[in-house]
Amino acid sequence: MQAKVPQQGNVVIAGVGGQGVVLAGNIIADLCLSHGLDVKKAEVHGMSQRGGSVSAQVRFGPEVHNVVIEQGSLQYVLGFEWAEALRWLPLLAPDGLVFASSERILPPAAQRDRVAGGVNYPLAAFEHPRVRAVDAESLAKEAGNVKTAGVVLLGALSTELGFPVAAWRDALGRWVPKKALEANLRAFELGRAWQDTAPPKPLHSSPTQQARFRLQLEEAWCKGCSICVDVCPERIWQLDALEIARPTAPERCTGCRICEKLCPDFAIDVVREQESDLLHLAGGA
Amino acid sequence: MELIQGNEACARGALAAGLKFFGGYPISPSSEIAEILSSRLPRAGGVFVQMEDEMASLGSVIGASLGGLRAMTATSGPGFTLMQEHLGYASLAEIPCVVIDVMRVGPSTGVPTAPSQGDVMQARWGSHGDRAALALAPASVAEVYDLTVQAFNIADRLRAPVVVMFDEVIGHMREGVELVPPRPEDIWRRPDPVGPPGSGHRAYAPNEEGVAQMPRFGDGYRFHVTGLFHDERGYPSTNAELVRQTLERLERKLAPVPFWLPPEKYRLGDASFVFVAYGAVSRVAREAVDRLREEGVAAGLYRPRVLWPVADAQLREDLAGAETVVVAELNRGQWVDVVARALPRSIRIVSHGKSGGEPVTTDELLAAAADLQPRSVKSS
Amino acid sequence: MTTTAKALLRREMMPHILCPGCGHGIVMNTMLRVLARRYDNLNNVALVAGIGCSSRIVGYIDANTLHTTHGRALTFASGLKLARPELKVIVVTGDGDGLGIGGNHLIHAARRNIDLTCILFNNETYGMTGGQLAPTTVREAFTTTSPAGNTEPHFDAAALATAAGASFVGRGQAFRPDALEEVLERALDHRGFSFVEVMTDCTEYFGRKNSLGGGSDLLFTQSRSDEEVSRDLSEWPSLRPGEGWQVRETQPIGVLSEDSRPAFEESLGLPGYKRKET
Repeated sequence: MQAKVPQQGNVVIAGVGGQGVVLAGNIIADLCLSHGLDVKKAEVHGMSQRGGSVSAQVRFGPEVHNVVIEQGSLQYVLGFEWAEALRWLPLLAPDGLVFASSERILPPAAQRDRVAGGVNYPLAAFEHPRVRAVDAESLAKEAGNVKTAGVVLLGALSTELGFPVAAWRDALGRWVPKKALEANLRAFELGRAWQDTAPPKPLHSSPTQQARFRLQLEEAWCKGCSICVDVCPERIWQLDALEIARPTAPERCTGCRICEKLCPDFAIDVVREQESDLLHLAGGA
Repeated sequence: MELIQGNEACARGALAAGLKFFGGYPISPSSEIAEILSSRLPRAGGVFVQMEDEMASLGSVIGASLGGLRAMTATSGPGFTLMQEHLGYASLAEIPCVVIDVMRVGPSTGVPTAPSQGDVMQARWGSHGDRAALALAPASVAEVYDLTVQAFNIADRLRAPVVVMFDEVIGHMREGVELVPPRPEDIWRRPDPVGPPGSGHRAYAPNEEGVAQMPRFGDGYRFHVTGLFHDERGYPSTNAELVRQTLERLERKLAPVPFWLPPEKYRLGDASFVFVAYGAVSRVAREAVDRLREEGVAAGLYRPRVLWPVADAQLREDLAGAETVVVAELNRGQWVDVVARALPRSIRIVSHGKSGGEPVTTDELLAAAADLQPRSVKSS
Repeated sequence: MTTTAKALLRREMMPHILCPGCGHGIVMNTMLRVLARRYDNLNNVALVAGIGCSSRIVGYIDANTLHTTHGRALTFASGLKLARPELKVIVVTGDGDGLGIGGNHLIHAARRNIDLTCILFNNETYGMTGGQLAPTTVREAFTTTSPAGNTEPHFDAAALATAAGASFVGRGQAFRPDALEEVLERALDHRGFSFVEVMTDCTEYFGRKNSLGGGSDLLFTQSRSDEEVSRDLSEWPSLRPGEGWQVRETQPIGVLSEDSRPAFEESLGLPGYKRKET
């Protein structure tokens, strides 16, 4: 069933640099303009080259003056990255809807000040009745191009924001590179299809079902540089008397793998021992 | 019979040998080789690329050779100097390749492009370290063709860089020649890798000739190549014993080459007065020998075709009957040191060196001979 | 993920020779994660390196690895690629190797648009030889050959490669492995000369000479202007706000330029690169 063509509304697209957030905003704005609506679009980027937050706010209606979306009036959030989507929850209208990619991108530095147990923060969001987790990454891969994840979410949005499908497709055609159009149109369809098969009720996750991670150390390779000690958001690693890294509280590991990725010596392996719902979803099952 | 130039014979010899990659940089008097190959090599299914300098040229040649192709570059003195580091690399890393050096007067830009044989010692000691060197010296257009083919054969069989060096006279000389392409069975191949890919594979394990049995890149072996001294896996090592053994092996494996390409001995049988000469100078010396023979002098010519390595014992044996040896070269005396080292002190050794860009003449050699008062045949 | 980064190491060669906290190790780690995602094994990948700390890393990777001469990796790689166009050839070079002694080869490889990926590890110094002045050292920085602070301007490697004609130019940082992964992925996807400059750190020489602290301290300098790093600047009193230091703060990362000019291999009509019918 096709929803009614909206006469006014507002949408936030949130993600990190390089995901096509600004482009997705342009597509929606273009769509509104082609339906004779007034549009205002605000963009926040600048750290985009550095993997930082990027967002685009689109407000449309017969006449729009204010570009800023006020608290409690945000209708739709497209989250290209899980945590970035959740930042907008405070602005969400009671009947607003969040389509969030279950993909998680963790900028190392952003993790540094997280308190222990911070993993509950994204899990809690699953219990929010207005958040829909979309495995956009897997669907984009299925469409043939992982970079179309944003368009998967646009597809999902199109089932709620009821512009005619043909108009959505035309707008895509105007904005995505020609050679990638085919994959993008597939991604758009897959996004729409997901909505058809998605569980109507909010997802739940038991906090007791967190992932367990085992921290494995290649002792002979560790040179005691202490990068892991300094970057671990949970402050798990310590150097022992021989200047070898040791996990002091491995049970606090959230599996962010920052230590593994920033270890110059390949000495650390973060091994997932038990899949949580969160990671299960992210894996596309 | 056709009339062709030395440089063209070189290019055609390379093609006949199966050249599939040429990376070069223009320099007189070698440029014709690149020019000819730029049109003919692509038609023969090969790749010609003009690189940005001579280091890049030989670098690209080594890279292509690792990919399994017969590869070559051509240059002259200044460029040859720039290639020295990569000659050392190819030597230690055991990468087959052929470098053509058409010699001109140096040092530095020198006299472009007057003939010279001034790069003989550079070919031996130009790169740092105790590098084992291979250098061939053709003396005619036909021999440029043949030795270019042989250079590829030797390079592949021994996995070493081979320098083919000739002076500008040979490079630009035109002669009527009948080029005889090598038969398929005349083409030597690289040693095959031993065993299948896997953790036990040793790319640098030598065969009975002391040659590494490396696969080419991309055949599943995944091995390491480095200019550092390395063990049989190719992994770097600073072990002094390993370094010593490697240097010995790299020298030993080249030792047969002067026997594969023996020197030319012209009227040497009973000669007591012997010219030692290579390249263009040997052609003049041959005429001098004939003229001296007409005068009754027991003259002969000894013409090495392999300048490096030198088989001291071979030289001693071949020149055992000589009383006077005149080493005539287009330089101030380079290969003469080799002769002097190899021969007993009882033999008089004279250097007839000439530099400046003008060729050695028969009259000059005859005048030198007159000064030395050689014995006649009859008085022996 | 097809395999794991660690599975692509030559274990018998580990641990590597890099100093504790060396940014090169992080970049190598990132590179291998990208390769592990793309390949089961590296049978058809050749890693070609010059001389220097960064160039040494190829020896630890279970691929066709070629450790060449100082500055000339691109020339060996060019020959190899033209001989075996079916191989994926990746050049690993440093700032001294690739921009100092080897600068000529970089601009010409870029100009030809040969289908290689060149990853230049920029730690702003000559690490292997003891921390000397490099063509990338920023003004005022101390090195073992600029005891009173560098007075020379530095190269912008990415801008140089762009100007020379590289059809893909990107930049990443050791500090942001995820962003770097994406840049590397796209560089490897690209057909033509792709150049990626990676900002990394020399702890033992550059870090010490400039009192920048150890591995993680140096890493955090790569994001100093962001609010992401909570540590106050005042914790690095020796970090002088000279002209040079601002370079790191303002350098953009990501894909900086990309176009689809024909690769050199196409103009030669090599297998797999046949000229497109027009």
